[in-house]
Amino acid sequence: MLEKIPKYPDIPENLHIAASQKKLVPFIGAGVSRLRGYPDWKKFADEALRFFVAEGKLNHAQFDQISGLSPRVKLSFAVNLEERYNLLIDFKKILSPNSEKNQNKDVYRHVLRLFQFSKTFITTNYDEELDGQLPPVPPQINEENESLSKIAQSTTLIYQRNDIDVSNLDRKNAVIHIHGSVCDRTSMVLTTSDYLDRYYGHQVGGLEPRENKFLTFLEQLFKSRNVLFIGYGSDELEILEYVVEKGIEKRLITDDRYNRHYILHGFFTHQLELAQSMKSYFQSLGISLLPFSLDELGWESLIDVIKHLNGILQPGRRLALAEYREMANLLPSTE
Amino acid sequence: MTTALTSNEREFVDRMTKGSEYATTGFQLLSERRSDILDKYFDLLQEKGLFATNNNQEPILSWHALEYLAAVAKIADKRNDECLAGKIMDIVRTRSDEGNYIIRSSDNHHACLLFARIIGLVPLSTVNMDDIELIPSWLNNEFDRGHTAKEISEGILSRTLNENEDRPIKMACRILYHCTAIKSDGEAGPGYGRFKPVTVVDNFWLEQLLNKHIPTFVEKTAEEAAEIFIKRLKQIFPPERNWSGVMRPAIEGHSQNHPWENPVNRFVEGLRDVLSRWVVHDAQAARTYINKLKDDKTGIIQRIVIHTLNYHWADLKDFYISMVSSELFQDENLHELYELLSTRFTEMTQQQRNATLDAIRNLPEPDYYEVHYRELFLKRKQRNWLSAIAGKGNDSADEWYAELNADENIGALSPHPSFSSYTASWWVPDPAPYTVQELLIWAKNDTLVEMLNNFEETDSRRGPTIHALVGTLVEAIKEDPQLFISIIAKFVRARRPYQYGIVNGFNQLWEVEKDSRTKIIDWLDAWEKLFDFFDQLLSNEDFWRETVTPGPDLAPDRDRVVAAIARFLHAGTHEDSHSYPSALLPRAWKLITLLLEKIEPEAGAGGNAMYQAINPTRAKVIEALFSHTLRACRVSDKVSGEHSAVWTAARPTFEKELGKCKGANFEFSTLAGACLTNLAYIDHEWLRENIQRIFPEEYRDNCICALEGMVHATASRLVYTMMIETGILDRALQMDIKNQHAKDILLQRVALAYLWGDEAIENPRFKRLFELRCCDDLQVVSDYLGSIGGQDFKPEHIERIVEFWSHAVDWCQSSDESPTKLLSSLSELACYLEAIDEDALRRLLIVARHLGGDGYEFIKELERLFKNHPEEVLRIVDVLSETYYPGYDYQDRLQSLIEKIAKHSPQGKIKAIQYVDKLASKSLPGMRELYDELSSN
Repeated sequence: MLEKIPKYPDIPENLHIAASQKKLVPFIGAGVSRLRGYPDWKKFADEALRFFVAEGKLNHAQFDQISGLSPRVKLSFAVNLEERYNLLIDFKKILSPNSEKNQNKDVYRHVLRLFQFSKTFITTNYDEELDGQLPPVPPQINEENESLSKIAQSTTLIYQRNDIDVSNLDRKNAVIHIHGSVCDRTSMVLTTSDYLDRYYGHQVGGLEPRENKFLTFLEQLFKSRNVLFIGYGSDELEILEYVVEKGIEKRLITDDRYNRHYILHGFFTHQLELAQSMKSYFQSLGISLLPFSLDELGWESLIDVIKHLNGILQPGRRLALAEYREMANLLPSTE
Repeated sequence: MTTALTSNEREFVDRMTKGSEYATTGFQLLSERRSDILDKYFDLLQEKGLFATNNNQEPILSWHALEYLAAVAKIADKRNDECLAGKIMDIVRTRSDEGNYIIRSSDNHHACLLFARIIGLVPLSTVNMDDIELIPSWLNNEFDRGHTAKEISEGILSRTLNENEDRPIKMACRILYHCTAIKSDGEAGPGYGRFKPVTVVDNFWLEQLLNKHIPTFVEKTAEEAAEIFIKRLKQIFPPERNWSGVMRPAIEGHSQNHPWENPVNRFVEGLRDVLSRWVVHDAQAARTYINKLKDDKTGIIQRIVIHTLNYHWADLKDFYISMVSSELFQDENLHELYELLSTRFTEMTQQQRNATLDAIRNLPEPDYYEVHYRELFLKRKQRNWLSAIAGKGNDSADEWYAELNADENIGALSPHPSFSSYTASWWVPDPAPYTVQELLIWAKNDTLVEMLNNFEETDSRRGPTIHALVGTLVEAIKEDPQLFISIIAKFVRARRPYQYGIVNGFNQLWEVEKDSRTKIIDWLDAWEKLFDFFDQLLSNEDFWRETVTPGPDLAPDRDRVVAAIARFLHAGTHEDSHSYPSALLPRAWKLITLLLEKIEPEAGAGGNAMYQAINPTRAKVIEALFSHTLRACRVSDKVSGEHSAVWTAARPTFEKELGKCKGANFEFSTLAGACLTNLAYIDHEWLRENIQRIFPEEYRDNCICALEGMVHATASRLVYTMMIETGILDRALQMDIKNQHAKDILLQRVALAYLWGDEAIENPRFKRLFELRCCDDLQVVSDYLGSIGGQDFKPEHIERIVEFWSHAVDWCQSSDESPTKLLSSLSELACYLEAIDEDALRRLLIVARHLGGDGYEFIKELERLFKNHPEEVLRIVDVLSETYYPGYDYQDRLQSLIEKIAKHSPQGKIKAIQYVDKLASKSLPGMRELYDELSSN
């Protein structure tokens, strides 16, 4: 039972252990990019439609009629229009930080520092903030930033569907865009049909059983690693559900000490009840809610929380025994 | 049918390529899976090189990989999947070709065993004759010469023999050939010259293999099997070595055969059994073969043929006539031919009988004897042969035998005429000539001593012996001690062994009564009579004039009588609650002084002074002297409250003995050292004045004996102080004492004195140990202080131990080279720490870095201290996790500590898991399970 929203979340023991064994996998959502000035999911969909308004292929009345639909449906419309008019939406332009605000320039620097507890980052974002494209860190700042600079430079970008499989789960300093990257328009999962295609279930029967390697990847991720969702607010829950629904094996766990996955989520003090409900909701998914207070800094508190995590968690090395256990998880269970 | 692998499974195989540990773990995990689907991984595993050796850097193909291959081989056989089996066999072939390594490797026997298993599991159609030629490289392994053969026997050999076609049967023969291969172990053995054969397969397993398969070989391919055994026998018995009886006295199972002659036994029995079974199975074919074989000139083979002829006379008797000749009667064939004649002569035809007699008659004179003996020995030989057929219905033979028997020059017939030499052994029960009952009857009718004295020992090996009769006498004394005490005086006339017997018998009774606390006889009366007997015996000058020469028999001599008396006198004073009447003390004193006067000290000081001091006769007397004096003092103390008069009377004897301790009388030196505390009780002033004489500087051997004796003395502050004051201890510590135990005891006394407060770190003893870097000696002190832990010490004692610990650890730390063993020993003193302050933590961290195999005591203390000092212990465990990886976790102490740490805090759990991971990598058992328990996420 939550009694108050703390400034920093309490860190569960399993999260400490996962970090110390480099088993933690930061799972980055749009909330982080939004802090950096990127459009949110809704705005991203609207901007995609506006592209056709600007091109004169969609009038304002039409735009207004569909503006109330969900972002995913709007994106489906936009992609249909692309095909109909043979025009390509400039997603790179849409997906650029708001240069006027130039806010929270360092947010990804702090996020990337989480690599000390992890081998792999996963993101549902299309932007390239995690892809080693951060401006070089001035070497004179401190030694800590020097090491950060190295991490950024050696990041390996994975976004093609065929590359997203378990073999890359163990790749060092990999950033996996599970919904594609803006650097390759064809890799981006945008429409409902894209989602259905990516998340279809394995076909186990029939003459030729067909495996969805992407799902296997997710299943293995949640089975053998400890995932920390960062930047998934209420607006991104739909995307999160896709991931969690397919990835996490459902178990009836009521005691959150046994959870292996976590989500950072900010609340204002007056949202205590909401936080309690969200806690129950995530618990049903096998995820522990790590609530933190938005009272002082609003969503920018997330940056502070990430800094806090970087300070409190203890880095370590991958343990051979952990890797052996992971190997066991790769085999089908003994029947 | 194989199924496609999922991406998870492909990744699993990929992970196996990360290193040998990963590969091993992978194969282990696979072995836990359903065995009937294991083959689906095969192609990818092979593609990833997981059945290859690691560029010869890591040449041992993982056993787990081979276990996997064996499991897949089973699947291939079940499905008759020749393609899969072929791939497996290709691996076996390639790896065995690289097998030069395997042959050399002593620890790769398991790989050989698995190769052998696999070849027995795959469908037989995928195994070819070349594969069978791999077997020698698998068998030629020094480390295990048995289990691979067992696999072959139960696998490929059984399978090939189950078939009826030509090809598998040929394979079976070739396997038998390889399994019976012999090599030389490089040692010369009797009968072998330079070549001592050893089978490549361990004898036990070879015997199992042969016993199991010979019947089938006979059924399917008897001739080839026989040829293999013949070939092996000829390897051992080449033509120039024709005296096979040395290695195999009898072809049949016989007690004369030598169980240690393994290769010979296996091959003789192999050929014997093949021929024998063959005759039963297919007499006609066997006859044809044996008919040819009987002309073989190899002695051992001819013997086996004769044996077969004898055992299957009905089927083979017609061969006899073509075999019988003087040549057949050569010495080598003695046993088998003798047995044949003994058994079958009565069944022989007249022609066969006549031919037999002719052959004996025509025996050549043995040319290995000198000329004038040749005729005699020929007759002897002929008589020997005739003994086999005499009385079996042939008059000529009987007459000739009688004639030769009548010739006294020939000598008696051997009791074992079918053997040229016969080995017999028997346990020597050392039988006594008379029973206890007989001795009791003679004791009653007063003839016992006479009967005993009249017994003469004629055969000391087989008995009856005097030694055994003495034992019977002791038993008789125990049966009726009262009877024997009444006639003890008569034993003055008895021979020494029986005098020894009666003294020893009563001494044993005395000890029995002490232990059982039940009255056996009236000892008041008995001691009087015993003293009378001792007086009478020892006062006789003839007794002392007797020359004692140590003989080969075990019969007690005069010195053992004296030793028995001294031991008995000692036993009579050792315990106040079980001692002879004090009124007899003066009589005993006279006896003891007499014995001291009569018996000369031993010549030199040897290796172990105490061992020497308690064994010679004089040492027994000196023991009795000390025991007697102490008893007399105690009696006097009880009566008058002091014992000066007793000591005044005894002192001259002690001083006289001490006076002899100048390069001699080492028994006294040793026992004086052992009784230092007792001497302090008797007269500490005297001891103070004479202690230098007990540990004389100028007589090093006497001093060493006394020091070694001191090992057995009770520790005493008074004595220790005397030794310090007189400088004896400092001198002793610098002496080169060979007896390490004695040296250790001296150091332990120093440690004890330190505990008492009589020593300090600044005192010369400790100063010297540190200054001269006597790490071994310091370790003795540390070990001692560690070993007495758990006692109810006063705070000042604990304070002193901790002070020593602190000083020693700091000293070690300041040394250029850390004395690891000493630091490991010092870790045990952690048991005296009640808390961990800053200094203690610093020192604990130092000793933790040098923890040795006995670190489990330290771990136990860390667990104790963890309750109040968790953070400090966590820091120490940090150090341990870098250096301490025991091979065995005594009483699960380390596991228990790790569990405690893990429960303490997330940081504790992280450290615990990291340590467990390292321990698992160093193969400490139980760590994988502990990891699973701790790391449930």
